[in-house]
Amino acid sequence: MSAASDPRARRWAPIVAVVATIAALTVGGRVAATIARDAVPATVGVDGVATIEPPPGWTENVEARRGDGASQRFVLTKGSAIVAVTAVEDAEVAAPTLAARYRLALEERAIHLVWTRLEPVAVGGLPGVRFSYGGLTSRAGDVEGVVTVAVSPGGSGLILDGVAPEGALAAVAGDLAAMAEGAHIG
Amino acid sequence: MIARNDVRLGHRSVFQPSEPAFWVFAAFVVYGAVRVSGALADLTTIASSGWALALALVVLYAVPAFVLIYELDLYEREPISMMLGAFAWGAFAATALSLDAAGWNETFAVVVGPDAAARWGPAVVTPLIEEGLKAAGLVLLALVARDEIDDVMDGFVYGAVCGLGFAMIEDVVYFVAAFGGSVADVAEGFAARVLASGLYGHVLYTGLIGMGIGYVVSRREEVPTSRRIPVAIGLAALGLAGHALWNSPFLASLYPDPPIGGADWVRVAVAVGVRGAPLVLVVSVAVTLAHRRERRWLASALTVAARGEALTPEEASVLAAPGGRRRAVAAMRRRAGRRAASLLVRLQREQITLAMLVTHAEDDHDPTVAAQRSRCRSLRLALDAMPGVRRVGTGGARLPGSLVSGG
Repeated sequence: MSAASDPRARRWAPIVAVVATIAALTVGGRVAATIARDAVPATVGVDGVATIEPPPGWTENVEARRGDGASQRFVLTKGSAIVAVTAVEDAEVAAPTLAARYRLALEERAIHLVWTRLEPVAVGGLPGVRFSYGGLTSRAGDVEGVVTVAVSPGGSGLILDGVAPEGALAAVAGDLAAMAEGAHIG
Repeated sequence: MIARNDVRLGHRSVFQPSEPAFWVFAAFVVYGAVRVSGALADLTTIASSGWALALALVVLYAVPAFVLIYELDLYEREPISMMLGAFAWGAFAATALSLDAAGWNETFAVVVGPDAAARWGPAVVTPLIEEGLKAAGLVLLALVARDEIDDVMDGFVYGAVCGLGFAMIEDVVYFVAAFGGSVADVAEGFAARVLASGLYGHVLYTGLIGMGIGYVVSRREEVPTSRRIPVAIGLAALGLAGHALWNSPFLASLYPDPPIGGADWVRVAVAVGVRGAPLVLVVSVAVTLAHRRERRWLASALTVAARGEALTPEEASVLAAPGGRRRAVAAMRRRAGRRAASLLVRLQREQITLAMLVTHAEDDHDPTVAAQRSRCRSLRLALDAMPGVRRVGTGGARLPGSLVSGG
């Protein structure tokens, strides 16, 4: 006897369908949320100023959030790599100048620091600049990093500072480039 | 004394232990009752006086609403146990399962971002979850007692009662958790969510979805599945759209800014009216069409059943005419008093049940039909024995047509 003509199967089929629908609406929601959290990380930054969409695996250290009226800083981690995202509401200067100021701030915090020249790079469809650095810090030891900076015509700025222990930056270089390319500024 | 026969075709209790669907239905309702009771108990810690007031106000609203919905089905009132089953599903199972479905809100927030999710989540995600879970209960109820949902109107009644149960628990939570829990806050919540919005909410959304389920279940022999399913989907989509519109940020500017007081309540009422009017209109048209069809169906059933002393053709025409029953009862009350009028009401109900039974039975020799004819004859004899009755008959059936309405 086929399933279609079996009276017991006919009796149970709609019940199973209803229970499956309820399961899809309840348990399915939890599963979808877990998948979505992993697949589509939350946007990080300040809406309308500058935001990035971190690739899978990056988690924000919410306790490390810092900010004042002019800028907000967010910190993401993946393994030993760290990305500091700074959204500047009114940068007032062009990207090269903002990058130079950021480099000076890095220098002040480092025991020793070397850096490359600024090179042009696209950041979220806008022209930006990038420089790499390496050196010794009192807190993290020998590190290497890459800083990407862009400023929108409206004056909103984004500083993306990816840093990792010496030799570990290459593993996340692709992620850093993707964050810069997918950024929304202004 | 006229004995009452409880064996009535098409009038089944929700308690059907032989139906697997009954146990599934019961399991979800019990789970929901435990979960919702726990959540409501937690609210007492916020404000016990506000909680008690919230519950009292909601009951004050729900009881007349329940009666109103029950009375909507003019000719074949649904069994109370089935009605209470639909209510319990909405109040307990659907609300508890909606709490369990919060993952979809989180998913939506991850996909569109927290700000957009806060604005649009209640309009996009909430209706799908809440209406989906309420509809699941209605389908289970239809599986428990398939022959009980024998018209679109029945589907509306069960859907509306299910929505009423859901709204009742949701309102208690809102009054206490969202409006603050103090007596004044709860009263403000009641005014904003119940008095101002009336029956626009869950009662109507789920009523429309119930109509769709009623259409699929009751038209199996007349309409092919390929036509019934799209109609049901269309009615469900209307219910979902009404829920989504109500929850959406559209027209939010019509509302006054808080704190609300004095003349602001007029603006609240206008805003609620503008947002709710389209759905009320749609439901009114749908219910009117369902009533018309029900009346046509009843007239046809009465014509088939009209034979002999139990139900005469003249009585059938009185019962089928809009307002005919009411006019005949009023005429009986004037001529023979309240007790006679009350007995006439009972005879009319039994005659309508006879018509229903004849349509369900294979032939007129069916024992249930025969028993019902006998019951109608007994009632007529009892009525005829009352002083002043024979002049006008039971709706005029035994006298010339000019006296049918007591004229």
